[in-house]
Amino acid sequence: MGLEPRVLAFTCTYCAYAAAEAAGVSKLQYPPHIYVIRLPCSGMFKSYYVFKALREGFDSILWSGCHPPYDCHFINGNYKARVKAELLKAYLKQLGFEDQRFRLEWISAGEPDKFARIAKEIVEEAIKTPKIIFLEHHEAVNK
Amino acid sequence: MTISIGIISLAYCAGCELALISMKRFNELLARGAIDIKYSTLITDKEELEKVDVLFITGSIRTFEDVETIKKAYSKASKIIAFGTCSCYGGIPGLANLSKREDIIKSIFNDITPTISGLPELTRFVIPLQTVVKVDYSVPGCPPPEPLIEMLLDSLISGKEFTLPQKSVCEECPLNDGDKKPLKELRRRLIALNDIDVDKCFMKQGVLCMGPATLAGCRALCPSRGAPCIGCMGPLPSSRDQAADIIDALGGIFYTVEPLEKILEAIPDPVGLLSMFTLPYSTIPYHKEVGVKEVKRDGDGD
Amino acid sequence: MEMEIKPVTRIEGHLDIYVKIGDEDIDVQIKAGGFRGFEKILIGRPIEETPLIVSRICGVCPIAHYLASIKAIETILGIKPPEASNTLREILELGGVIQSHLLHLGFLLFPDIVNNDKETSNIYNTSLFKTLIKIRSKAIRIVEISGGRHIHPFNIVPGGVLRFPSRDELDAIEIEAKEALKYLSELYSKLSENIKRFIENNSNSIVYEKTAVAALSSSTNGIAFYDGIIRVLDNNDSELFFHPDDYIKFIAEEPIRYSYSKKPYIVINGVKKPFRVGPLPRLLLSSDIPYDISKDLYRDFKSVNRECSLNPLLYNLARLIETIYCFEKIVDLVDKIRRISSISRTKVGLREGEGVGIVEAPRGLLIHHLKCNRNGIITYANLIIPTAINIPVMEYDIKKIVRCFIDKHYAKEDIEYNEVKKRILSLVRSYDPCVSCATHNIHVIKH
Repeated sequence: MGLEPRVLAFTCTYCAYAAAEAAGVSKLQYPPHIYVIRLPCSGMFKSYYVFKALREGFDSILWSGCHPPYDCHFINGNYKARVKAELLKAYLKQLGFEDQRFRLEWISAGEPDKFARIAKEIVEEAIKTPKIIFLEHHEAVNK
Repeated sequence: MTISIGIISLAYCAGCELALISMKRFNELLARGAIDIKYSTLITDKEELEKVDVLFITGSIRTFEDVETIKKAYSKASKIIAFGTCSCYGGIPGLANLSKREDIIKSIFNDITPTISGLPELTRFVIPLQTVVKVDYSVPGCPPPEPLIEMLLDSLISGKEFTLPQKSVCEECPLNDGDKKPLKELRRRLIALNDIDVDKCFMKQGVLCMGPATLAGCRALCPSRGAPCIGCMGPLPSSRDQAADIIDALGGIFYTVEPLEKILEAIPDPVGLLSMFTLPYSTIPYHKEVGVKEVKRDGDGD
Repeated sequence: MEMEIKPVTRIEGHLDIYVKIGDEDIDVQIKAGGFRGFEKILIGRPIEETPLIVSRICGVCPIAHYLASIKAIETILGIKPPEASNTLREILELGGVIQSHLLHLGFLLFPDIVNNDKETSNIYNTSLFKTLIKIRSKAIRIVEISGGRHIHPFNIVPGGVLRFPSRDELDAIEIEAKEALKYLSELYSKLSENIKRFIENNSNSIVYEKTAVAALSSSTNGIAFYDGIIRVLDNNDSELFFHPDDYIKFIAEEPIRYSYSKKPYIVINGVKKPFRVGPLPRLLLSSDIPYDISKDLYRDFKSVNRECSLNPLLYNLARLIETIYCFEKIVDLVDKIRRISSISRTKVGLREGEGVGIVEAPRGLLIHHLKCNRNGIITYANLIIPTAINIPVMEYDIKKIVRCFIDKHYAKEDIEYNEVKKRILSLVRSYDPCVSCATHNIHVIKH
C-alpha cells in the first residue's frame, strides 16, 4: 500500500536536490512520505507531471528550484518554472482543487533546513486534505 | 469499387458533416459512384444503420443514448473514423464538465428529472469517443480542415494508411518569423483588439495563440486570415494534454513578464481558454466535483 | 393507434415524433434530442470568446449565432462598429443564409424535388444537383472571404473586423454573386416547378392553423436579416412592433416535459400564443423588395398564394426566393462598401452590462441575451432559437394532418400509415428544423 499521504517533490540538481541530500546526510528529520525526483533544472518541470501525479494518487506536488534572480545554473530556468506554476495554480483552482495540492518553493543548496521544514509542512497539510480518486472515462457511463 | 459510408452523429452541431459534404472532391466522388452514403440521418432516408465499409462518427458522448448508438454501430463497419474534434477530444461541449450534470438538468427542467419523461439521461461527464472504443483514424478539427479531409479521402480511396502530421501550427504559420526571443507582455485578447496587427505573430504582440500546443494540418488557417489560433485541432499526437503543453509553452516564452499577476489577468479563464476543445481528453478531464471521489485514508499517516 | 417516426431523417439534428390517436383526440409529441447545455457552458467564459463558442451550437447556421452574440456584446460594451465593417457583417449574414438554404434545397429536400426519371438512380449525378452545389459553393466562397472560414467563422470581433477583405476579394464576392444569379435565373422555373409539385403532392387540401408570425423588419429595403426591429403579425391580422431590447416583454418560454427543446411563445395583449418564424414569415413581413429578379418573383408568389399564405410547405418556395434576394443584396452591399472609406475597428474596453443581439438566422428570429460582470466574464446567457419557436407549431400541424386522414375514413385502422408518415415528414422537412440549435436552452422566462 505504501505510506499515505504521498507527496511528490520535483527538485533541481544544483539547488533543491542538493538541499534535500544535505538534509538527509545531516540527519535532519523530514517525513518519508516525500518522493524526490531530480531534474537538471526547474525550467524542465512539465505541467503534465503535476496533472498525472494527482491522477496517479499523489496528494500534493512540490516544485522546487533555485532562488531568483541569480542562482539558477541555467540562468532563467527558474523564471520559466515560475510562470508555469502560476498558470498551473490558476488552472487547478478553476477545476476545484485545493490550493495546497501544488506548491512552488525556492530552496538553495545551503538551505537543507528549509527543505526539511517545507517537507514537513506539506505532509501535514496533505494529511488534512482529503484523499481523492479520479473516475475513469468509462465510469462516466456507469449509472 | 464503391466504398459505402455511414455517418453517425452523437452530441454534435453538424459542422463536421457539412465540412465533408461541402467539399468539391466529396461531391465528385458521390457523382461518379466511388462513394455511397448508406446511412446518414442528415441526407438519407435510412432509419437504421446496416453494414458499411467506413463509419464516420461525429459529436461527443453526452447521453446514455449516445453510448447505445455506438455499441449498436460499432460492429457494422470495417473502419471507424472519429471525425471532428468533438469525436476525438470532446470539443466545446466538453466544457460542460465544469458543472455537475444535476446542476445542468435542474436549470432546464426545474424539478422534473428527465428519466421520468423518457429523455435520454446525461452521462456523468462528456467523454470523447476514442476513450471508450478503439478507432481506426482520428481526424480532428472544428471542423476538420479541407487539407486533412482531402488526405482522408485519398486514404479511403487508395487504401493507404491515413496519418496525422507530427508538428504544431507554428510550423505551418506564415506569421512565424523564426524569432525566439522571450516576450515581455501578455494581455487579454479583448484589450489587445485595440492595436492588434493581423500580419504579425500574435504571441509577439502579447496575445495568446494556441499555435505552439496545437496540431498542424489546417495550414494555420486562422492566423493566416487574421485571428489567433484557439486550438481546435487538439494536441499533437505525441501529447496527451493540450493545456499542459500551452502552459509550458507560455512559461518558456513569457518568463520575463513583470509582475507575475499580468499573466493571470491575460488569461481570465484558464480552463476555458487553454483546453477549450480538449477538456474531456485531458489528464484531468473534469471539475473536482464532477469526477473526483473523496475517500477515507487507509494505511499509515504520520 | 400509435405512430413513431424515430428518427426523422433529412433534417439537421435528432428528432423523434410520437403520434397517439385516441378515441377523442390526437396527441403529438416532438422530442428533440442532442442536448449539450450551451447556456451553462457560457457562464464563466470571457466575453470576447463568446462568439467563437456559440458558433459551435450549430454547423449549419454558425454565422447567425456568431453575429447575434457579437451584437449583444457590442451593446454591453457600448460601442458601434464602423459602417464598413457593419456592411461586411451583413454580407457575411446573407452568405450564411444562402448556404443554409441551398443545403436544404440541394441535400435535405433534394430527393423530394429532383425529377429523376433516368436509368441511373444516383441523384448526385444529376445536373440539377451539380448546379445547386456549384451555386452553394459560391455562397461558401463569399462567407470565407467575409468571415474567414465558412463553418465557424472568426473574422468579426467586437468593434469591427480583424482583416478587411482587399479590393480583389470584394470584387470576387461580387463576381461570385452575379454568377450565382445567372445560374439561379436559368434554374428558377424548373426548380420552382419541382417545388410546387412537391407542395401539391403533400398538401392534400389540409388547412393549417394560421398562427402569429414574427420577423425582423426594416422600413428600408426588402427583407431584414441583420438590423431592424421585430414585427409581429397576429393571426387576426393586427400588428405589433418591438425593439430587440424589449424582447422579454413579448417572448415567453416554458420547458417541455418530454423534450430537451423549449417552448417559446409570443405574448400579445397578455395572451400567450404560438408563432411561426422563418423564410415564409419573413417574406410576408418584408417591405418592398428593390431588386429586379426577386421583386418579380415575390410579386408572383404573393398573387398565387393569397389564400393559403400559411401553408408551411410554402416555406420551400420562400427559401428559393430568399436565396435569390440575398445574392442580389450582396451585390448591392459590395457596391456600398466600395464607397465607404474607413475600415478600422472601434476601440473596446471591459465593462459590466447586459445586451441583446437579434438577427434573422436562416430558420428565423434568433435572440442572444448576455450579461457580463466588470471583469468581462459572462454571468448569464439566454438564447431563443427559431427552430424551438416552430416546433410547437409543427405539433399542431401534424395533428391537422392526422385529423385530415381520420376524417377521410370511418375507422382509424384504415388510415394508410405510410401516407400519413410521408405527409408528416414532408411537413417537418419544410420547416427545415435545426434541432441541434433548439436543444441547448436553459432559462425560463416567466410571465
